[in-house]
Amino acid sequence: MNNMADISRPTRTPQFEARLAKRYRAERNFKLMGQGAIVFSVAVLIFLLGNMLMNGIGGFQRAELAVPFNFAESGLTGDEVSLTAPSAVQTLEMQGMAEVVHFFAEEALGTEGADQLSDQAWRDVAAALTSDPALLSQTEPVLFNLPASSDLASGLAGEGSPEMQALASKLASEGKLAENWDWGFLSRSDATSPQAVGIWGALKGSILTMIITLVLAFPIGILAALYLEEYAPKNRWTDLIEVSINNLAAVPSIIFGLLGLAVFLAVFPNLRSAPLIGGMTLALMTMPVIVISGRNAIKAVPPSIRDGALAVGASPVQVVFHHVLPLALPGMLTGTIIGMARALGETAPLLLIGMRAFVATPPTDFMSPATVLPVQIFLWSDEIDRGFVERTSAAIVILLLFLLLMNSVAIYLRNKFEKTW
Amino acid sequence: MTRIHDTIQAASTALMKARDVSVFYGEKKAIDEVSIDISPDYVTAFIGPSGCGKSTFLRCFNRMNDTIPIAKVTGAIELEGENVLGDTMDVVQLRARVGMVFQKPNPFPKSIYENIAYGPKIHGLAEKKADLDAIVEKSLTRAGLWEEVKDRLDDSGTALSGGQQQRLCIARAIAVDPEVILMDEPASALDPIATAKIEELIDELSGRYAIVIVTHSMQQAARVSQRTAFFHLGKMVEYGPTSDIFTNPIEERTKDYITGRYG
Amino acid sequence: MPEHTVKAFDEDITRLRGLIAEMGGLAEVAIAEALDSLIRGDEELGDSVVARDKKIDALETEVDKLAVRIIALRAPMADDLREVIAALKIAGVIERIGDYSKNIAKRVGMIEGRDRFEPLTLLPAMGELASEMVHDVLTAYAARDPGLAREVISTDAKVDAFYNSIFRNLVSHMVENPATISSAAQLLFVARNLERIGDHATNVAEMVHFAATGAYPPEAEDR
Repeated sequence: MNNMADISRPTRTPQFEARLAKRYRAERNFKLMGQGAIVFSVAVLIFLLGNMLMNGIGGFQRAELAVPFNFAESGLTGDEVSLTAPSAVQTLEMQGMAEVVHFFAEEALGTEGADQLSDQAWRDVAAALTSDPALLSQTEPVLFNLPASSDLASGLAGEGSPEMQALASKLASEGKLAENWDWGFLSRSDATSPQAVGIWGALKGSILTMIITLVLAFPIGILAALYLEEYAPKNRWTDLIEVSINNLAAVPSIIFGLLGLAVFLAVFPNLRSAPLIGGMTLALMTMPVIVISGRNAIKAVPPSIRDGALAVGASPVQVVFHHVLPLALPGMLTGTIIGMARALGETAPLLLIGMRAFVATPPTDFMSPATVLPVQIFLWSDEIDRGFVERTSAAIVILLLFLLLMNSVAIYLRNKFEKTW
Repeated sequence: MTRIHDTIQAASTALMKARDVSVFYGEKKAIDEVSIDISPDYVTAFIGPSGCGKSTFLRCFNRMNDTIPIAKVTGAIELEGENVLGDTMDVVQLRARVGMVFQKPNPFPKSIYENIAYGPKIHGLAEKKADLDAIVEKSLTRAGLWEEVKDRLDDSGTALSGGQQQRLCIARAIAVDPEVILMDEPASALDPIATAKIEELIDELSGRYAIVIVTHSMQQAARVSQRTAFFHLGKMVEYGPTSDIFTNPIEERTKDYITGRYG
Repeated sequence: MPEHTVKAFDEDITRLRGLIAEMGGLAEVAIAEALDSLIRGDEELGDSVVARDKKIDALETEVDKLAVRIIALRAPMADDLREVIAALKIAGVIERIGDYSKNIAKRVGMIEGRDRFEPLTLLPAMGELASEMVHDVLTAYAARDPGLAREVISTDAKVDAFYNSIFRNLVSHMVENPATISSAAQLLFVARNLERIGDHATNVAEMVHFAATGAYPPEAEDR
């Protein structure tokens, strides 16, 4: 093709070739820039996650002392009924369980070692006994890995006072002190010692708060979006509403905390720190996002679908709920994911309404005092005790995993409802 | 002033009658005092250049202009004696009696079965699944689609070819047992073979349903209809038997348009 | 009348009409020359008329092809459709007129002793009338004039009258002079051809009226 043109009407002149090369170069450069941007973002993400994971790994472990416990010689009494009753732990406490544990610890670890046992360590043994009362009749000693004190734990990590470090290395070389994987971290709640803290309290608090947020923000947001798009007349008032909602979505979150403080807590003063209040505050914050993305999703449904439904004799409500809503749902879900993810990570408004209490047991319902993951992380990061650093990183990892799980569920739902038209 | 051919008798047995219908978009008059009778005995075609208002007028019959806020319709349209444009007419019921097929096929993004079954369901025309199945089969058969899709009723309606989708939309309109079917350029998005199938379908349906078709193609209007109305700038210029309009029109404007001398 | 949006359509119609006009002109000349050759006994002229009839036939074929093409490609409606159909039929009729003229010219050599034929003097007048009919109908076609077409139709009565009188004349001549029967018979045929030409011109006039108005002229009586 080119050869024939060369003679009579040359199109591939040198200027043409130069222009062509320049065009291809520009294309290539643009592509490279894009790839570079992606690589940079991924690198930052990997760096962040990697950093968190590396720091957090340590947070999932804790220093534990090996203590063989002989139930038969312990002198503890009880049977099936008393040991499974709700007050079983108090009963065991009154029987002097702590001293018994200390006694066996001294036998195994020596006085110094036993002194460095966490003062709440006896509760682990009590928990084992209440879940399996048959242990009481065990004649053979049962090995328990009980948490060490935070001083000893620091010593094992190579920090703290020289005496502790020496003790720690001595016990470690005897095989009595080790860093074990700490599954209990996921089931315990806040505590004063980093050896005894767990994330479950904050996690449950987050879950409860998110439930409230979702239950409030999603229906109200979707219905508001539907009304504004389908039914509201186009006049100055609806324009004003639209502008207001757009602005609301951009308001700093701490303002919502002030609102929650001023309004919700004035109405329910004794529910300070409850997931209900926290959820309501976050719902206020999330709703504008859902409304905006909902409206865009509804706008994207082609009018031909509506016309088709109307022409068959569907009423406006039927058109909306049978045709528009199912098609707009994927987009709405995406907006909801974004809103909920943001709400999950919010700290400032919740701090303001008081969800910063020290909560040693997980919340029982929506009204009981609770805290949420980001607030917990914030509080732990403030602690002086060196052991809290790793725990904070571990909590961050949990938060990221929770976020990932939420996103995956929502993406799965969105893909399931995705339909082509 | 519309020129109506003498050979048209004012059918007092007409199913739908429009009298002096005007449509305003805000201040602008889009349709100027048009009157016409619609009957199942003949297919009526509306022809005219772009923007002459034929689609707008068509949409008056099933009050689809209601969806446009600035549109205002005056005059009278009667369906078997009832005033269609009045406040007492239930628009939802009206649209079950006066169906519509659009230019671009618009099946619902549901299964073929659901597409057809939707209308009867919301109008309560069938209670049991067996009845619904019967309606689906009948509608698809009448639309000439049953043999092609009977084994895949659960496939998505949007997976069909363009011509099949349009026949699906026609079947959907038939499913609610209408009296009138309005077609707004039903074949303009289709290839010649699909177009021919649609035209054949219109032939078969006429007689049972009163069909009104808006078309850009004069050949199609000539092939498919028995009465033709020519619109120009919102007015109905001429109305008469199709063969007369296309062999010996009276009005100069009509003649210019159909011989390709327009504009 | 405004032009078609597609200019080529106008060109096709113009060409079609041009072909008809050309055919018509040739046919007119053929009638005049055929009669002339007959009256003067000019066999050479007669032969040339016969030869030129082929041209008329060729033109008719061309009109057929063009008309079919226009119908297939342009989908003509209303006036255009009637125009094309009329052109098709008119071409056929003019071709037959040409054939009649050719037929007249062929009989030149078969007439003897023309000075003695009294009827021979009537023929030119009849021929002129027929020729005039053809000329007028072609004018009506060019001008799309239904009024002129109707006039042509009424003229046919005169041509018929001519034929009747020539017929009686020739018959009585044949009775009185049996020796001249063969020549007289030829003249009968010639008169018959002229009468037929008149009828055909009437057919063309009816087509012209139909193309122009969409209806045939009111009185379609037997002629």
